[in-house]
Formats: sequence, C-alpha cells, structure tokens
Amino acid sequence: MPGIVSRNILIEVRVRVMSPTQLRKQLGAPNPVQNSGLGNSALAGETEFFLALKQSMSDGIRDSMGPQILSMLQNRGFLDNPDAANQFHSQLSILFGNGTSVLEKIIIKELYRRLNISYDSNSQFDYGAALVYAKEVCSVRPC
Amino acid sequence: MTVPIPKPGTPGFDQLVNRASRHNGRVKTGIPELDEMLRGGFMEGDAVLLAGSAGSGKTTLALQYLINGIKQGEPGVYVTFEELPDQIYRDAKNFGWDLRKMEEENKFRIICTSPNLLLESEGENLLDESLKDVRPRRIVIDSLSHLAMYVDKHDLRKEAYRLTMHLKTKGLSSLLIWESPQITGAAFTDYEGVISGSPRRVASEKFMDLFRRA
Amino acid sequence: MSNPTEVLQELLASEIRGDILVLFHRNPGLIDTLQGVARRIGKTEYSIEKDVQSLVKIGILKRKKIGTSEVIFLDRDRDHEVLESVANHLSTIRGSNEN
Repeated sequence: MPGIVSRNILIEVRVRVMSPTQLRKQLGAPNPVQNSGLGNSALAGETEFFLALKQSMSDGIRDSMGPQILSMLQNRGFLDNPDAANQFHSQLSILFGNGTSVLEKIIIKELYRRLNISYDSNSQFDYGAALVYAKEVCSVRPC
Repeated sequence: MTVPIPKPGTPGFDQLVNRASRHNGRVKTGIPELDEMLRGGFMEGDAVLLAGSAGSGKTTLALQYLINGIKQGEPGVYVTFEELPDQIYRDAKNFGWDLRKMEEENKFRIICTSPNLLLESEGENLLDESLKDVRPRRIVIDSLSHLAMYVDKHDLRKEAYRLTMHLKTKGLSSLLIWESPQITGAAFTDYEGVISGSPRRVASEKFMDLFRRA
Repeated sequence: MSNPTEVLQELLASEIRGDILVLFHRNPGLIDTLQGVARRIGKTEYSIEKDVQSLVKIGILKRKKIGTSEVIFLDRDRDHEVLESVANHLSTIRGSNEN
C-alpha cells in the first residue's frame, strides 16, 4: 500500500535529520541534566564550598566585629576572592595584627558548621590548610 | 519576686484602666478572623494562655501577635527559655519579619534566659532593663511549660500568678505559651483567656487555619 | 581603656573571646550565668572567666546580681559605641595594596 509506506518513510526521515537537542527544543522539552559522574559532582561541590565560604566570611566578621567593620572590609575588596587564603590573611594582618587568627578561626568554625564538618579547636591552626581540607571534603561528598 | 497588686486609685491601676478605655479595651492580634472570634481582640492588660501540642503553631501566632502590635505602634518583648534568639530571627525571616531591624529601632526585644533566673528575681525583675529600653505594651512568655520544670508542682500556680501580676503592673498585655496536649485544670484559672490549639479538634483546626492564612 | 588599638587587641586577644563576642552578637538578648555562657560555647566556667572579665572591663558585657545568681548580658549601646570607634580607627589604616 503506497500511502502507508510513504507515511512511514516520512516519519523516519524527520527523526534522522533532527538531532536529539533540536527535537527536544521543538517539542519544548527541557534539556536533561548531564550525569557524567564524578566530574559534575566535583563541580557542584566546589560551587557549594565557594558559596558557603563567602557566607561564612561575611557572617563571621559581622558577628564578631560588627556590620560596620564588615562593610569596610567589603568596600576594600577583602572578601572578593574568598579562595585566596594567603592574600586574605595578609590583608587582615595589616588591620588586626595578632587578632587575625581569631577572626580566621571564627570564619573556619562557621564554614565547617555550614558544611557539616567537625572542627577540632585543639589541633594546630592554619587558615589556608583548613580551607583546602574543607574544599576536599566538599568535592567527595555532598556538603 | 515581690509584686504589689494594683489597688484602685494607685498609678498602676489607673494606667491599666485608662489604656483599656482608650482602645475600647481591646488589643488586636492583627489576625482578622481571630480578632473577630475574640470580638475585637484580647482585653488590654490581660494575661492569655496559649496552649497546644508541639508544632501546633504557638510560637508563630505569638510572634504574629507581637509583630502586629508593632505595626500598631505597640512595642513588644518576646521571652524565650529554650530557643536562642538567632534561631528565632532566622525562622521569622521566613515569614518576612526582620526582627533584628525592629530591635535596632527599639520596637522589639527577644530575651533569652533560664526560667530559674526569672524566678530568682527579687525586687527588680530580670526583664526590667529590657522593659525600660523598649517600653513594650505586649509581651510573650515562651513558655510556662519550661518554667514549670523549675518549680514544685504545688508552687506552679503561685509562681505563674506572681509572673502575670508583675507583667500586669507594668501595663503589659501578655501571652503565655503552654506546651501540652491539654491544659491542666485549676493551675490556669488565673488567666482571663485560654486559647487551645490541638490539631485533632475541628474547632482548633479552624483556629490553626486562621493564622496560617493571615 | 579608650585607645581603639588597645580595645581591638583586647577584643581579639583569644579564640574564647571571639566565641563570646559571636555568641552575644548573634543573640543580643541573651541573659545567662557564667556557667550558662560557658556551656553555650563548649567551654568550662573557669576557662572563660578571664575573657568575660575583660569584655566587662571594655563595657561590652555587663554583670548583674539576680537573686543568688550573677548574670552576664550585652550592653547594646556600649557594644555599638566600641565597635564603631574600632571601625573608625581601622578605616584610617591603609592596606599595602592601597598605597
């Protein structure tokens, strides 16, 4: 029966010409979430870590030294690169001297609380190392 | 806690009566259906017991009572024995209430302390400093159940009476929270009003629904 | 002690002092005994006594006798005053990347 054969062929051609993405777009279907395993999980973990760190820095400074000092540090760009631990430490040291480590500990405690990591106040403290550890934890498990 | 009972003709008594007549004697909760049920609101200066089981919405209603008071120009104080203020600020933010800002504006205070410290107050009460700062018209005590843990069962009524009388002499309309599936009889006959919210009862479901929608 | 530099050094002299500041700034309406405050930050009464005393001396915290207990609470006005003066002092200090 020629009509039916023609119809079948027509459908088949349309499927071949369109890519899955194009077809999805035409149908108005959302793009599927890419599930490529460890790569994306690490990326998600890094984003979550970064957001948690930013929030911990502002909360920690505000809750210890007050909103005015937080504003001042933000205006000076101290909180712009949360990942740059050494730079942050140097900037704080100019202003707070020996009090810098106290502020850093407050930030780390807040960060660890957010990320559900236990904080050991008895161990030797290094701000940069504490951040690296938290980042690693976030990359391997949901925080 | 030594508390004088206001007698007719004394400043404390006159203050209460004058306020009551100024506002038609009613303190609006700000929840329209509840105020309608209460024929305009609580009576000014009254102590009202708000009882209910855990999770029935007592804290939310109590906060709403204070927030609505602030909107009407009546500062408020929230006394908590369990939850830290930080947690209450966060929970309130979910409802769009910025309690920290209201504190900065001296319209509101959250006091977090232990029941035994409140009970130990002699002469000047633990709350008095905050009352001086904010000059509140409304107060919430969260909760009497916690207070009850620190007193002998037979003294609960006496201590609850002392507390409510102290709040009345300060001219405060108070809401006292009691966490329990049901109210225990004679201990609470000293309250002018009792609102009980239990999810199991139909009447209470309507009550629960009122402030969910408000 | 009115010198902001000295005040700043005192405020951040120890981790415990930092914890106490954070506790009372997050919960400005907290009124508790020394023991209660210590418990809330995971320390002992003995270990925080000196730090509390220092913050009382600066004026940020106040002590008051209530019945047989002594309570500690935040002096909001004085706290605001102290932090403002420290902020003003810090704003005059230039960082190395601003020169």
